[in-house]
Amino acid sequence: MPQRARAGLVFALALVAAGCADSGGQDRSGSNGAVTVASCGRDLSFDRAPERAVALDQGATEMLLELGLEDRMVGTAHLVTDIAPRYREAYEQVPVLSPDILTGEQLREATPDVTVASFAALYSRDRAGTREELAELGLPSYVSAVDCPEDNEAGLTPFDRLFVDYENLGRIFGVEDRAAELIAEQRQVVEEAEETRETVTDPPTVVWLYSVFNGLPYVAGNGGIPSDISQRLGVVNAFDDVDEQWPEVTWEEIAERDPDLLVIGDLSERGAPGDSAEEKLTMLRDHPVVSRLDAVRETRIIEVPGIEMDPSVRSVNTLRLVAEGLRDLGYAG
Amino acid sequence: MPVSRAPAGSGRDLLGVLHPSARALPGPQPVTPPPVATGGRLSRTALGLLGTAALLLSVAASVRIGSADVGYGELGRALGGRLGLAVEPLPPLLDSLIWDLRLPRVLLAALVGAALAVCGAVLQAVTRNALAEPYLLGVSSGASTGAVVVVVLGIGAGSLGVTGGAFTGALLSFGLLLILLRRGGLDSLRIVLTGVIVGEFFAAVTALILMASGDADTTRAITHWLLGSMASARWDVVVIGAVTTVVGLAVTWACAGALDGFAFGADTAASLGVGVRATRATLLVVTALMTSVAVASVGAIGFVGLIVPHGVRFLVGPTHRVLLPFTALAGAVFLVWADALARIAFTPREVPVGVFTALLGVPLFLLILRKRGEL
Amino acid sequence: MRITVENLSWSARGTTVVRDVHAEILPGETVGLIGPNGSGKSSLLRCVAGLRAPTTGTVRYDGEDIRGWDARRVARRIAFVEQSADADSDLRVADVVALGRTPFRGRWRGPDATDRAVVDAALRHAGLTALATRTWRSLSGGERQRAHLARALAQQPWGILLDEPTNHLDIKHQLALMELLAATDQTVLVSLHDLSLAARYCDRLLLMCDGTLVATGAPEDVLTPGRLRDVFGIDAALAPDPAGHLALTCRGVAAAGPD
Repeated sequence: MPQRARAGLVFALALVAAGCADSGGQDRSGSNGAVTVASCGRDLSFDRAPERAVALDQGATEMLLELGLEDRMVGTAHLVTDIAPRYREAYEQVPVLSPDILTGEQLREATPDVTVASFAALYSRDRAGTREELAELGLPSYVSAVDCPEDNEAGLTPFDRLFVDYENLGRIFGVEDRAAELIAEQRQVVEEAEETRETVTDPPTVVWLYSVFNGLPYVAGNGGIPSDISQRLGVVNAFDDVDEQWPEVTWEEIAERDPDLLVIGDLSERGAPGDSAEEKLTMLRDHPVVSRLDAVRETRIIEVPGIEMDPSVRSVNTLRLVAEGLRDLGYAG
Repeated sequence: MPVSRAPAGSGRDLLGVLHPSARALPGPQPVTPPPVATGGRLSRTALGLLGTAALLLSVAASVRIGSADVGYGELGRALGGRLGLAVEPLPPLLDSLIWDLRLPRVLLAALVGAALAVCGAVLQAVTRNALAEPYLLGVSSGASTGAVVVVVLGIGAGSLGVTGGAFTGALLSFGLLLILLRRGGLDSLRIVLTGVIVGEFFAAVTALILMASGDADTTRAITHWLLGSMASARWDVVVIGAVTTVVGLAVTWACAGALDGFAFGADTAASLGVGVRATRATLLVVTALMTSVAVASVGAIGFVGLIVPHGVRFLVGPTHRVLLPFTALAGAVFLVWADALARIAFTPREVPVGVFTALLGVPLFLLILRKRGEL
Repeated sequence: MRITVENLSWSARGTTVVRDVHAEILPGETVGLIGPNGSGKSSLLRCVAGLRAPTTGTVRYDGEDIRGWDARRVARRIAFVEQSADADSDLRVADVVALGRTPFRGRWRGPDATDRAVVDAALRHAGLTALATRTWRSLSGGERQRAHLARALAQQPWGILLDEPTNHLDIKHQLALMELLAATDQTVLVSLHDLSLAARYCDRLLLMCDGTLVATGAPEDVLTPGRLRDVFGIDAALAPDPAGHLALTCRGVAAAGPD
């Protein structure tokens, strides 16, 4: 830890030098080094690094765990699938406040000093409480930059905005070094994947099948991680014209777009009927129209963990998987 | 030829009291003690005290219940601090849990419970149907549609607000119901079936709006809200609820005599001096208003208006002057406890309170239908 | 109270139900309104009771035109008993009779001593004191009709209008009800099916046919064999019974008459 703290100090100094704060460059975990971070339309101020963080959802939880902050977390909630194996041990140390969306009472009961969420929608009156209410109580509410493109620099992709999150959280918790490491690691994966693009000739079209609910497929539209991955890999998201992250479409519509390949999300840990990749494959093969698609007949299908199709610290893994898949299927060299 | 023989034992003095010329006389004493005040039903004063005490105790007790148990000491400190007493202040988040969330929630449950129960009693009288209730008549669905139009489509978000949208929707569904019921009698099964149809229609409109423009997360949030949840209760909502409930109670109570008159139909009511059209319009608007404020603040909670008035009628009789205040009291107590149950039954998960009221209400609904020989 | 009806007509959905009726009912009279089904008796009664606004014509109480009166003002003058008005309710008999006090009640005021005394008297007058706490649903048809009459009396009305009050009552209750009516000092207008009852208990009769008033006068002057044949289609005559009361003797359906 001391080593990390020193590195953090260096990083903090660099930020201070860049004009982010004027209160001198002490180690913030020591005390009185105030930090202000902009998060989805609100400026969050921290006199010192938070010690009692609550993560409102799985994405936020894994991000904090990735940054090694389990000791400073007093609660998590709203787990959609199993926690990733590499965080499991750290996760065991954090109390689960609710398996569902956290309520205002549960949040207050945990007496946190910061909340972190992937989605601004989790801060509403009937859930954790509005961000204004929490601000009045002196409780800063962090929202992932991925959820508010309008509050971020124009032209940033979801991956770029994930990196903004790592940097912000690094500053808030005084773990800038770990954040910088993470950014570097993930940026490398991104860059490697982008090299794949150079080798993609005749860009194939892709349908990203996230889940099937009530017999209707939910696919990736524009603006999400799948759309970002598609662009980075030089393939075409077949539903990029739909301005919604997860539009509900029909099987006929998928058939009509006749994609060159399919990416299907495996949500078997979520456990609802039709959630596993296997069931989705069966559905594709049994459907009278979709089963006739070349992509299905020739099994040009890439499986990825469904949870990674939502922006999270794990999303680079899917980028990597799809890049590999493209090479395996001969679309990239 | 006419016979003017008075019935045996009556005598002219008796007829004298009944004669219009006797109206101006100072109140004659009843010859026998009035039979109205007895009759096996509990004394109303005692029942009134009991009901008020039950409400106060329920509020006090249920404020403590929830995912976080609150002690009376902490409750005292949260309240005391605001009354300017020298008490040790609570940590801000705990104080907020009690003052910003728990108290308004319990109070809102009481207000909404009172309002919905009174709406049920009033609608039952106006439609002369034991099964009338905002939820069963589709009024709650109409209010939900109106609220969803404002929330999801943003139509009228500035001018109407969610409550205004809900109110418009409630009036529309009422209008549709009345148009569909215009011809033919008001037999109860017909009213309920028509209400179900109206409700289904508005539920379909709501679903369509959600499908067309809501993303999955909005849909889920609204679905949860439509089932009825008190989680978004805050002081501002409590104030709106309190004003509406008090005004609604006052107006309906002022119409108590008219509501009794409706028991034998519109013509008899009119012959008793009830301005039938005006009274009906006033009462329908007031119930629509109370329902829509309830729906806008806590979603569509069903069956309160069915369960409570029936229970209370059993205790205090059907005279509205007495029935309405007791219905309000009982409705408040009922929903306070239903919501407390919703908070703790499946901790840490919270169940929409509408689920509990429906679980209690549906069997009662069937029981009433069966008792009336309609099932 | 004197009730005056001047060239009154009433139409519903384009059909004229009551046509140009003139009638006068004197204070304290008990007047029977008779005529076959669909002759417009109920509609005329409702117009007189202020429940329907006449299409043309005027209704006067003691010379005052009631057009434009609010329901409460009418209700303080006149009581109306609907034909078999029923309720799906647990109202007790005393509650039903107390409804008669509605036109005298303030919005916020409960029953006072006067209300109680009047209700009590009305109950006794109708012979219902013993049934005061019985619920509506537990009453027989005759008891219900008596309760309605007691409710009307509790209105302390100057006039009472009744629409076929003896329907569905057994003979004893029919007679008891008519005796009660005849015994009141108030002006009574009652529509009746039973011509014998009408002839026996009413001072005068109004005979309606197809919406028009075809005859008025003492029972023996109205119910002539000719009118009985032409209006009701029966071969009958009115004659005193052994006790001296007027009674209808029917010989059967008339050979030629309406329908």
